Amino acid sequence: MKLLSRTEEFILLAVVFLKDNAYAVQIRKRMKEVTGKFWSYGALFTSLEQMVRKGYLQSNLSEPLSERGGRRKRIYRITNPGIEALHEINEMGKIMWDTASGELFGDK
Amino acid sequence: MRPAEKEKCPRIFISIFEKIVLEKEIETLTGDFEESYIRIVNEHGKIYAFFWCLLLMIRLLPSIIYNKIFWSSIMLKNYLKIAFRNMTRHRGFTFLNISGLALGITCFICIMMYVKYELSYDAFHEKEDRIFRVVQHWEGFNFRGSSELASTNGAMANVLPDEFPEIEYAVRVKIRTSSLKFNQNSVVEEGIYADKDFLNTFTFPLISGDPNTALQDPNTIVLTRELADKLFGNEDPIGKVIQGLRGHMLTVTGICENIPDNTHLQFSFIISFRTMYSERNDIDTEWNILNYYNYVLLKENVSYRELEQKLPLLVEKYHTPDSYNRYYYLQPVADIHLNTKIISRIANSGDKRYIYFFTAVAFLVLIIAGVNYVNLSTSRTPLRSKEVGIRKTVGALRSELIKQFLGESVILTVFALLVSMAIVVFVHPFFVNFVNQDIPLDILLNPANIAAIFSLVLILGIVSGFYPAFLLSSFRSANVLKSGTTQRRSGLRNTLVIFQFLVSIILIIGTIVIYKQLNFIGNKYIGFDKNNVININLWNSLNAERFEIIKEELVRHNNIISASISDRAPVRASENNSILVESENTGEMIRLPQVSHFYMDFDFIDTYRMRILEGRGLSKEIMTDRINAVVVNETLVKALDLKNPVGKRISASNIQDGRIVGVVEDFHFASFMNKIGPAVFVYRPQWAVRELSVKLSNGDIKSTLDFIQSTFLKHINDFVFNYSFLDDRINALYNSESRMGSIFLMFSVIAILIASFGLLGLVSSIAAQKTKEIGIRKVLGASISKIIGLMVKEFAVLIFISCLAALPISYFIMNKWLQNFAYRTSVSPWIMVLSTLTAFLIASLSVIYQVIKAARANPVNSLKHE
Repeated sequence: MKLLSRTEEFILLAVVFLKDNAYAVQIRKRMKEVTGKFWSYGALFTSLEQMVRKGYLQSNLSEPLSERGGRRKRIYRITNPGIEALHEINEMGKIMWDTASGELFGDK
Repeated sequence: MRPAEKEKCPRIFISIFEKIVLEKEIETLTGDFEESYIRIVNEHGKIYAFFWCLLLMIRLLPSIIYNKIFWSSIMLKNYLKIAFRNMTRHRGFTFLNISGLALGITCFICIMMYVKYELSYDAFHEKEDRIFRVVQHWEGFNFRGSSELASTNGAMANVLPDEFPEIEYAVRVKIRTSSLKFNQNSVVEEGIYADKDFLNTFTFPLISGDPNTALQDPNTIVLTRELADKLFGNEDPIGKVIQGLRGHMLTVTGICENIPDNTHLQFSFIISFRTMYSERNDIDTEWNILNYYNYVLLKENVSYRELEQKLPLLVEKYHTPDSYNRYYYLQPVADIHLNTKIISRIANSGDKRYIYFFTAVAFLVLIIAGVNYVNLSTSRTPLRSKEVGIRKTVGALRSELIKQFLGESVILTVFALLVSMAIVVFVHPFFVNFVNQDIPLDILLNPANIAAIFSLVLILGIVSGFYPAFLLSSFRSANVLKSGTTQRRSGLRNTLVIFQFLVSIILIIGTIVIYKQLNFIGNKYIGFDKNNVININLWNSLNAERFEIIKEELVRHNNIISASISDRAPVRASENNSILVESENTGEMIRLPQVSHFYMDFDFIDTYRMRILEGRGLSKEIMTDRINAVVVNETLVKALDLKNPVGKRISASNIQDGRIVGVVEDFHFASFMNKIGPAVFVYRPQWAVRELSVKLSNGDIKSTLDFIQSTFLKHINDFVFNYSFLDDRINALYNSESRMGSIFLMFSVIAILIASFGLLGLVSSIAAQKTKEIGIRKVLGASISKIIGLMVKEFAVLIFISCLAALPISYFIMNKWLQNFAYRTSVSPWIMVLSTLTAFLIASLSVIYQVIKAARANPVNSLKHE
């Protein structure tokens, strides 16, 4: 099983954070808030769809909304495998950082 | 979620966006797009947002285009595959279709080449839109039914630029055949005398010499390259001296490019106009003669119509009151070649009416070919119905089906176009020969023309493909999947067949009538004996006595029966003058206008075996015959209602107190299009030194010609021997008519061919449809002949209807054409019958084969599947 890439990890975390509001525009906004960069919609959708295929996310259409002129939104939700993958990468990340932080941040 | 702001995204961007987005996600993505837009508007303002959208669209453009092409091309591959498969599976049908179309297109292209060429006469002059010929309308003058004359006087050129500041140059031109000699080389060529501004008006580029001065001085000459080669070979002609007519010594001042065929001015040399001043001294003063052509070059931006309004000034100021009965006007130079109303002596002229006519026929042939295609295609509908049914079942839209079938017909038409281009190139030399015009092939290869033809053919393909496409994609076709057969409405098909045969029959009748008329002209007794007569140009040189001696020597040759000199052979009319004749009752002199004058010697009437009806011909024995004897023709007698013409006083040009001594039988001295006019014949040998007519017996012509030439050279050691056969010259009068006959013949053949192709295809598909019916009939005991009769009957009715319609139309049209001729045949009933039978025969031939094949089929095979 491949590890989550950093981008994928951030996207998943954003989805978790946004709860019911996790759709393309908001995810992109969140990424901007955190990283300071605008992800292109293309990159976002590619990653999102890939993770749906891998089973980390599921996507549903919401109800038709009046603000969108009767259109529906596609909301992404994290799945259990997704959560597991997040935990996994988090654990591994911790270990990596702890063992390297001595060198990175000076003498311990 | 932020509530939506009042700034909505402009509709157009949304619709573009929707066009390229994946169907599946169109909803959600469009929503995302709108939301982004709103954010941008809020953060950066409306204008920024607008440009953001714009930029987005531009970046999306390649994707849009790609998608469109991608999706279209997917089906395109399939359509192409099916189209080719269809074409190769029904090879016979495809062949018929393409042949019919190719034939029609070839015909069209050939005719349009001809038409374009005829219209291009004199278009190449740089200043063409400013060059006009001064022509006149002369009241009371009637020559071949027209009072418009292109010949004018030589005096006006001197005053025109002064009187009318709109005129830049006035150029006089006179056409003359001349002998030219340099050292040992001598030629006889036709050329012109022209004023010094000729080369600055018309575009005949000089290879050497200065166009501004080449024709300035008298006794100078410009040669065409061809003539220069003939006379000088490799030597440089400039500055050398040539001997011309009447002893003129001409200095060569320029060489010009060979004259292209498509100009009304055909010449091998240009002699400066002032050279003629030594021959006569009234050129600049006499306003009442008709010897020259006057051309004017107008200044830029001058309206020639406005100038025309001012021209009456010329008549008022310069003409004497007795010649007031005229007015001058301007003819654009490009109009000269095709204008038949204005009388002028131009070689190989065309006729505007024929141009219109041929263009109409060209389009007609194209329409027939198109009609053919429609017929053939619609008759094949049942075969494709299954395919249509299946396509509809799996979701094809009607518009897609139409596009498919339209595309097929376009492919077919383009294919036919390629075939016909090849045919045109191949047939080109024969075509040029056929129409007697040297049409260059690069008229066709000109890109503008190719584009025009291509689009026309494309339109043809679409228009003729439209109906079949429509039909094929209709719901009725799809029902075929259910039932397996179709009941076809044959109304349209029948109409089209009738139309095709209508046109074919009209063309056949037209061809027959034209050839009948030409034959009539060829065989009608012309009034004199034109066989074995040679005309030799005498160049107006020397005196009549010299030629009497030569004549006597010639006649001693056993192949030469007689010889005579005259001002011209009976092959054209002269300029007509009026005469005075003593009337029958009162003895007063009555004026008769428009009388042709013949000046001749004593042998003319005998040489041409003309018949004297009353009195006698001119006789050498009678002294007074040399002075005042006049022979007249029957028409003159009838015009003046003379009961006893012989002895009456008569006064004509060059003969004051004449007496009529005899009446000669009428003969045609011009084209059969004109009624024979009144004519007088006078002994005036000094005017007769123009043409020698020699009547030969049936011996060896070549040796006789040599003898004649050597006889001449014996007496005149620099005589240029130039001869022609009289019957050739007479035939040449009818050049455009015989050309028209040839073209008509070609059309008839082609139209019939196309119609037959159509009929063939039609019958075969109907026969295919009717196999079941035929099978059943056979089983029930019908004989083969009965079945054939059944099928033929259907078409016999159609052709019969075409005939009924064709006969009155063609009768009317051909009669109208025959009116052009004063002497003509009639459109007789047997022509109609013959044409009908011909059409019927050809139609039957195409039908019979298919029908026999269908009738002989084993009924078991056709009924097996029931």
